[in-house]
Amino acid sequence: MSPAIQALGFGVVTAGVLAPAAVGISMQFAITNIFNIAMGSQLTLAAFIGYEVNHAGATIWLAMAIAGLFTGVTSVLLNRGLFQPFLRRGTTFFGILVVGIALLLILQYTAQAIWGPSFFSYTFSQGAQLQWGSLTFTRAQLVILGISVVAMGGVHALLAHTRFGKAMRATASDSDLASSCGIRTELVTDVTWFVSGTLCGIGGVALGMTLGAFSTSLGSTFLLEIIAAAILGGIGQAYGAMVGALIIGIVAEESALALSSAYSQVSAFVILVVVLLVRPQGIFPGVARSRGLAG
Amino acid sequence: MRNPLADRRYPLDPTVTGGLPVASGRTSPPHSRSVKPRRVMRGLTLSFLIASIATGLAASWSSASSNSSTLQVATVVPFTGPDAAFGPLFEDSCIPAIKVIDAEGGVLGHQLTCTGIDTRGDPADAIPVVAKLLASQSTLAAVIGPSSDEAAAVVPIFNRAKVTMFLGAGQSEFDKVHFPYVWRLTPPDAATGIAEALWAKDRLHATRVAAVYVANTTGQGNVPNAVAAFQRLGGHVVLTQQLTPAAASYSTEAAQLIRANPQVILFDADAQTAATYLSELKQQGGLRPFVAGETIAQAPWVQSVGSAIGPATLTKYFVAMEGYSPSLNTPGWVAFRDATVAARSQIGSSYTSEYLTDPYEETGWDAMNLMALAMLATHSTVSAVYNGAILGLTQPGAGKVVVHTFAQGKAALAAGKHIQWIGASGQIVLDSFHSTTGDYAAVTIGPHSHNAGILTAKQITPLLSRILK
Repeated sequence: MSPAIQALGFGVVTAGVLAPAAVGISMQFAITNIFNIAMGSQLTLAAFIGYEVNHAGATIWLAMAIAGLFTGVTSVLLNRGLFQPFLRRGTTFFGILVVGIALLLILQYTAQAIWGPSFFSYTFSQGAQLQWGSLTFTRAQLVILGISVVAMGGVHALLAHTRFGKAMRATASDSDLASSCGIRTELVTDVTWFVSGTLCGIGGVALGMTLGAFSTSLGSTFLLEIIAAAILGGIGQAYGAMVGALIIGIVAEESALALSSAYSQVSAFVILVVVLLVRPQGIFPGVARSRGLAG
Repeated sequence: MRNPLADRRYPLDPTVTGGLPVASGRTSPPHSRSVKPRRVMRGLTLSFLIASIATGLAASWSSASSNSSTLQVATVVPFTGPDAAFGPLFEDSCIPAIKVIDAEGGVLGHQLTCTGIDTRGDPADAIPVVAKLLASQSTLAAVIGPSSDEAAAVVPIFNRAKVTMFLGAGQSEFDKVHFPYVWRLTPPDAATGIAEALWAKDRLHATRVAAVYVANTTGQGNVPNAVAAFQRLGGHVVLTQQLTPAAASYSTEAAQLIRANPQVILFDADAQTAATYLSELKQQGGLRPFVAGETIAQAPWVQSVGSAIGPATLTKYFVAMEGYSPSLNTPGWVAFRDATVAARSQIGSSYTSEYLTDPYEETGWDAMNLMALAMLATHSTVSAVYNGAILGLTQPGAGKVVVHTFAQGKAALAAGKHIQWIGASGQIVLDSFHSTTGDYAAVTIGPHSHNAGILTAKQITPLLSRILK
């Protein structure tokens, strides 16, 4: 059994966990031009909604679906009730970023007030262990991987092959022009927030399943890795977010093997910086350049 | 008597009656108005009046505070963050003792109260809250804590402010540095590490161990000392893993551990890191005996890791080395038990029956009683005065009356006797750095937790002194 190939498999699993939220955050920024930092806490809330549903007797997969829907709906409400009023007043990109940080903290501390500082775990079975050569996966890990691939493919298909996707891209490109062409930009924005929120919710439960135990700091702990995956892959690209998550996951696991566990996260972020030095727009050029995230 | 003004290096300004000092060689700026004696006198009178009023107020306030105000015992530990479990654990150790002391009439006319101060487990957050506490809390009597998360940053601050601390940190930096206001009634991490190594070598008969711990102050306490001790005992450390806390995955590390094939794992990790690491190790079929410090016996750790890998698995593989009370039937422990059970409603939802054997609960009880008795012995509630009496209260001596409760101690002191406190954790033996090394119990974790064996201070101390050399 080759340890390097085994670590590669583990990296793929980690990528599968980070990818749904990364795809969500990437899609949202590309279409609405809002970098919603508060997604970290939405991810936490989703994990806890999943926990409540799971402990009420539902399977983990039903809990994941309900948590995803909950986060999708709350995302739409947050956009309408909080972000849109700021945007109407002409708040700048950085102003919105600060609003997002405030919301992140409000949601995190609200979650802490409700659930307390303890750790929580889902009740579910990892299922049988499946082995292909050096690669080892549990059934639950394969399902999470499958969900990530479907999410990535679905978002790509939505954007590239549907009329609604065209409307989304038109709104992303020039919202006023799209509106004057008859596109219902408000609906497009709502759907974007709903889809990205749902993906984020799925990501929250997937993360909670992988960690074994989680607390109210879940989202803020992993937010950086999720944003890094989205930016590394090329913001606005569904495949890019997945590839970014893959690189971060694999580099972290391989460096834990080659160097030391203490350097696994360091190595992943060094790779991020190096790639962005060479390709500031990310691996797949998305909207980074047009949105001023790359030179 | 010498005139204090005559000692000044500054000549007196001849224009000012009464003599306001003016720096030598300087003259008044040309545009400045000459200072009229009457105005100066008026100013001086006003200043004197203000000073008198302020002094009077301060004196009356100070007198009030020393007679009837409520004295605060601050629990300075994390209440949020990865080590949030420390908060209730430490604060709850204060409540039963305070309740009993207050029921006995308090200390020198003062009632006592416990206040939780959240450091979030981060020195950067701890320093400002400690500064605020010291600035705003004139009735601060003592501190329970700080924990190992923030001790290095805040112990010197409290020590400078002459505030008595009952330290909850085991780091080695407090083993050989003397902070007069620090009292560590729980054993240092180094001793815990040695107990872990001894248990692995002598009781589990391991010759090959792996060391797995998180890269933070808590994790780096026990395990490196355990590794050093295990090697001194002739054992072989086949793998050392320093985990980044709260990563998304430790699958590669788990696979590495399985490949190294140790017989026993010396372990220390916070609940989240442990849950992720151990569930991945379990998935890969790599679980084997683990020996760890007291952290893993705490309820939140047991709950989160237990639900990640199963409570039965936890009981099967894990042993925690924790400070051992010589007997659960000693008068000191019985008094602690009764008070703790009676204070259940004040403690609230964090109360568990494990509190009755938890070393932090027992030593917290002892700490509060020692503080209150030291105050009575010195007739002062000021740390700088009563702190010096604590050591004597723990030591045996000819003619000393052994006391197990605050009421007994209060009565003996009132009768003019010298006393020795033997409380819930038994006889406290403190070294010159105010640290203690007692016996250790190896306790299994989980639903059927039991005492698997004892290691005595006699077994631990020789190795400890060699390692700390």
